[in-house]
Amino acid sequence: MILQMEYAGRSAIVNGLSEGRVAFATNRLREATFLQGTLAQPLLFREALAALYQVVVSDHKYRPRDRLAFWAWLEEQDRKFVASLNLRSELARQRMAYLDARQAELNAARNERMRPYHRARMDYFNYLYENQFELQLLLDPVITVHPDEVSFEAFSRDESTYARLAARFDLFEKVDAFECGTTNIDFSTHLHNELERMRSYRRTRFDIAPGGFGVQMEGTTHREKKIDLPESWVMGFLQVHSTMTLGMTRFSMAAVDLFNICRYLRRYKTRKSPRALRYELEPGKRIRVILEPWNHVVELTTTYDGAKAQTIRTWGRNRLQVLGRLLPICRRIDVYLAGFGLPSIYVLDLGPLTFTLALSGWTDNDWTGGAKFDLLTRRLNVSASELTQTYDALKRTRVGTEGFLAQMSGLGLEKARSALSYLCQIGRAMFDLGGNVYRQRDLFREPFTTQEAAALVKAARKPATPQERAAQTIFEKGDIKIIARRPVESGGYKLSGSAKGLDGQRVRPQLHVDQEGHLVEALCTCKFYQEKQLTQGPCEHILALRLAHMERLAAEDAPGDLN
Amino acid sequence: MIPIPLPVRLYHPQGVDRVAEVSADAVPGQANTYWLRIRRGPRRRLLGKDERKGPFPIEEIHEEMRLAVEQLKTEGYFKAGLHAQLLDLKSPQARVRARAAGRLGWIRQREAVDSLLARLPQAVDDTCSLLDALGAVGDAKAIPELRTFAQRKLLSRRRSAVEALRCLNDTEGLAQIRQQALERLPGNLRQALETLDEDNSEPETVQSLLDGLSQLPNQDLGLALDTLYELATPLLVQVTRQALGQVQFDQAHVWRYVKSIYKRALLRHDPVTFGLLSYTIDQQARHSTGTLALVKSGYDGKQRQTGIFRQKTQMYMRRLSWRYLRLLAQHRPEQYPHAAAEVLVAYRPEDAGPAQLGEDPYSTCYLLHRILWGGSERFVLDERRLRFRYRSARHTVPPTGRVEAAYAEWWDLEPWAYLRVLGGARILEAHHFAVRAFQAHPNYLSILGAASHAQILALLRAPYQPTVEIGLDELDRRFNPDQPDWELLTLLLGDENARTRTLGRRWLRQTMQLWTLSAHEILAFLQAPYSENHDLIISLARDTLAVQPELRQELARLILDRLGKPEVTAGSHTGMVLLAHTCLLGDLNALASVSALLALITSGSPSAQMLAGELLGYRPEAVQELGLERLLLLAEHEIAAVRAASHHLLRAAAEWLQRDPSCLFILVESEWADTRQAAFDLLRTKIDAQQLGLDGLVGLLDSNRLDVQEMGRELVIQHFASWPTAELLDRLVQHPHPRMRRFAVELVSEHLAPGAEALGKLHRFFRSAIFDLWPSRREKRLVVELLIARGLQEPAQAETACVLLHEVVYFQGRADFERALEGLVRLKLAYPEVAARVALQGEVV
Repeated sequence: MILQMEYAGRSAIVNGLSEGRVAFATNRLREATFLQGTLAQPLLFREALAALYQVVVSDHKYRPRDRLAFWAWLEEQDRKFVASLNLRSELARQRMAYLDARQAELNAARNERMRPYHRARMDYFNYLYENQFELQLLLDPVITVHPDEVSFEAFSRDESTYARLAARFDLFEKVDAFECGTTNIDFSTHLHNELERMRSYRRTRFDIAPGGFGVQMEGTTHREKKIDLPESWVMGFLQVHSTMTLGMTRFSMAAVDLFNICRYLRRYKTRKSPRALRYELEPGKRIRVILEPWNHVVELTTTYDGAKAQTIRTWGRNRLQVLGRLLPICRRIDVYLAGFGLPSIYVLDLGPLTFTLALSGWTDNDWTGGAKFDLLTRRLNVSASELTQTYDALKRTRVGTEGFLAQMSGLGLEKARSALSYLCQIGRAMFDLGGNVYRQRDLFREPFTTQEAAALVKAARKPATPQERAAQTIFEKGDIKIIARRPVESGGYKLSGSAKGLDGQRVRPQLHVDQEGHLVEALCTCKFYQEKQLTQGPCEHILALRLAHMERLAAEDAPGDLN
Repeated sequence: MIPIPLPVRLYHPQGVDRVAEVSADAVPGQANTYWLRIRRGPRRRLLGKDERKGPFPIEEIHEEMRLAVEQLKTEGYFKAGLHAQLLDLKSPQARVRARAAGRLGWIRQREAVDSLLARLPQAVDDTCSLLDALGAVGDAKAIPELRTFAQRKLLSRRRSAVEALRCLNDTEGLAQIRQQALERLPGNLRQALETLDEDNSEPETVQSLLDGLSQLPNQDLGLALDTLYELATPLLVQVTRQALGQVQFDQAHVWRYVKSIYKRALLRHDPVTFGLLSYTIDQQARHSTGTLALVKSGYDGKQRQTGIFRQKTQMYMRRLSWRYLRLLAQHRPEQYPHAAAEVLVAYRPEDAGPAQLGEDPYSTCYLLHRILWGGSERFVLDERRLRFRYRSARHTVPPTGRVEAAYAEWWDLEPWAYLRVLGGARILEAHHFAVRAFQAHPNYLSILGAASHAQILALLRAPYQPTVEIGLDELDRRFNPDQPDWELLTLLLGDENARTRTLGRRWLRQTMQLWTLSAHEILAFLQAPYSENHDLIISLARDTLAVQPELRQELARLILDRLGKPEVTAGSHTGMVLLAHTCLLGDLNALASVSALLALITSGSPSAQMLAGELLGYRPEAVQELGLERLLLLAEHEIAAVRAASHHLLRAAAEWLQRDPSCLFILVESEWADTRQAAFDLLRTKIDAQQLGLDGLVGLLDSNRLDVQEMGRELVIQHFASWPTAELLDRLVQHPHPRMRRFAVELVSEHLAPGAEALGKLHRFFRSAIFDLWPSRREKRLVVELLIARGLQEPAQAETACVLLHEVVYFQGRADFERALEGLVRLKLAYPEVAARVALQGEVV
């Protein structure tokens, strides 16, 4: 899809002797959103934006090295060797050696002569990189002004890293005016360099407004940016919030812990697999992080207070280095792990700022690649009107817990949860992991309509993946039975079932859903699960068991019952 | 040279002497004199009754032969073959009728037109052949019938009728057809054609139409190309040829129309398009096996899975190309060499395959082989694969003194075709053939003499040395140093071929006494965008210019005038500017005003801007005229010479800068390194540190550019005593760049104000130094030692130090850990009340 942005001015920072002004130009094609205020801690903000920029430009995808020149050289050596075999006389051999030496000499002289040209060419490429690259490739962050904070969300170029920077209003000395809404901001390499000049000894005005600095450029009154946005990028945005609503393993670490991990990774490189980060969590003990394949142990300064010991491996650890600039200002880091090979989320507490970094299971697996996180979240069937009701409630309040939103929409808690889950998946809402609240955030400029709600509900009822289709069939044929269902102390249920698959084999799925209905743990005796666990999403038997559980839950759920 | 007429054979269907032959026989001992000989007999091999007329000179023999043939026709004779074909036209089999019509078209006898027209109403599968034949015969009485067929929907019928009308030159009918063809074109092309002059095939116009074609989907591209070729104006034919060179034939909806264009080229006898398409088919057939696609038949409208450009089609088309050339040689021999030359010109050395045992490199190039070696017995054709191989090992060496090309005699009839091959062919074998044959031709020199300059220059680009020699010899013959052809010399100097330019430069040296006296010639030669020409022209003209002030002034005037106008082609001002820079700076300086120079800088070509910049540097009075603001703008100009001039003028404006140095802060942030360097020089030499002030200094330190930071550091170190230390440190520690932070750490370690408050304010700064993922050992050590030292001074500072050291203790580095732990212990020992989270004497840490 082609994402079009139009800016009336340029985002820029202007520094005077005692005052500075940071102005972000917003996308004119989006709803009118603005915020004006004075920053109380500009240095904090500078560091956080620098980290966000690192995420936006980061690309850790593996790309094989271009060895064309090497192969050409090798071929030339072969040719020379074969040619030398034909040289029978010593005189010819000497002549050939002389000519080779002379050729090398001439090549060196040519390289020397061409050096200024090569340097100029490199300067030109650098210029292009700085001035043109962003126009085609960098997706401007999405900015949302909420009633209590302003947030910036962005994806990395390789679509494997998501970052959200939330600045609470106490970052500001004074907020003069604001209008809630979502838009894009003009964010360029040049701006990133300029932001580095923010200082606390200059009083810094902070404006988010359509005009930016309104510099008229060569006869045009606005600046357009068109990015061919991969569908997967948008899907990734949606999947991130599905992941955040999952029941995940949570613990904390100090800045020095993350520093130790990152510094080791910076100092040592490996060509060998596995390149995982293994978290060993034992209740009441200090958490150990093992860096494979060296098996180097980093013992964290914090202890694990979960109920059950577990070991979780995550990949794509080099992406953590984008947090380097935040370590000196970081107070605490909350880590959320979805499971083996599944995404991990790091929430950094920077005082008035919160920085959320969500990493996909591994670098080459972008957020839409394999794992189907929407399958892991729990959904009751929701009608189009219920969806619209929930959206309207969220739009009125802009932010709220699921219980509060259930009350506002007049739906049952389970219905409200499901509706919010749907809204997250179509980019109309987001889940704030740090604050544990839902927020309104329209990713697209088109307004939410009843037709969209109806289309969504229709699409949601249709199984999208083969596993979902198979699960639906198993459920409809009555081939799934709940053998045991017991509530868990921490909330939620543990279920055990017996399912007869489409191949006629009977297997034993087990499921742990938390009090919010999200899948916490799942096991199955089928081949699919044995091979892939949950990295490619749950198998059809687990999904069928969840369908059976949902049916029972729906029968128990009633509007207005918040518990 | 008048060719000797070929014998004409005639046939009488009823008479006793069924066969008659009219020929021209040379009179022994008399050059260019011929007998007219008429022989008759019952069979071709039994021609007995001999009748001779003449002798006639060669100028008359053609006419005499024509009269003799006409005489025989009145006796009831037909041209040989005509009667049999007319009989075949009545055959019940469409295939036989079609073949007969085709042959009638080739022999072009008007007697056949009535029979062809009579056959047309009942024709179905032979319709196209009949229409083609009517066009080829060229009798205007067929026009009404052809116009009707030109309105048909079916492409093959319409194509045959349209091309027949074109052969008959029916302008009225073609005008109607043009209107319909325009309606078939896609909207964007139709609109483009409305605004273009179709007789003008300038490269820009061609490119604009090619761009329009490139936007079309494959489904529409073929039809658009065919329609453009049908319109047949020079521009559109040129566009079609260029577009065909980029099209892949093995695609559904494309091949059908490529084939149609090919057939049109055969009917029109368009040798260039025929040569290009025949080559491209031959070339693509070597790499593609075609595709299968579901396409609708134009014949019956049914959809079928159809092979597109499959091997069978490829073979058929390759054979068809040669069959067409053969028929040309037989019936229109004067056209054969031109068509064959266009085919030869299209082949490239890349078409040579890898060496195979028993085969020559071009064994798979069917048509090339037929043309170049068709008269040889050294090769055997593998009919199934259309590959040639040597008959035997003995046949790998070409025979000496024998021409192996097919129809070599027709080549000699049209020697201009040799010139086309020599000027355009890229393969050595074609040159080898053409050079030998051309040089042996009796009219060799006269043809070369009549050739245009462009045709001769093309010879110099040949990959074959003898061809180049022919071109060079001819150019040498044409060139007279006493009365040089300046137009030819200019062409040579501007030619893209280096060898041609070398010749041009040789001529330049030979004629320097003439052209160095003319300002117009000097400027004309400098137009070509090649630096080696410029260098030579300038070196040759320099001495003359040095002693001829009038010539210099005239040149300066002309150059200023031309630089004020836009460049004709990119780089056409370069030579002039180089000459001006070398020889005319003084004269130009006297002529050009500051405002004229500014105008050149603002709107001139890059070369003009460069010269204007250089001249501006010699005008110190420009400082007042331009003002500081404009000078700053010029310092950011993209042309280095303009920036250099502004730097020069800025130095002259030192007084202004001393009064207000803030504009230098803009220059030090310039994206141009030379401007930054100039600003640094000014800061170092002209501006006093006190004039800069703390804000100015911090402005430099705050920069993201390393060289500017370095400048700031230099100033800090040089004048440290004169800055307010606390304020400077307070600002410096906020810099995010690691290099500046290291500098700040060193300053802080030596000059931090005493007291807990000063230390406490730097908490975040110390953290950023120790939490650096790419740390400096010295920096960390300085921080830790400073913390320990300050902590030992008083308990309040010890509190601050302990918080930071406690974090360092958890670092996974032995040196950091030990140093921090030691510090914590020392602080704890000094101030036991401090919460150092370190327990002594066996207590738990």
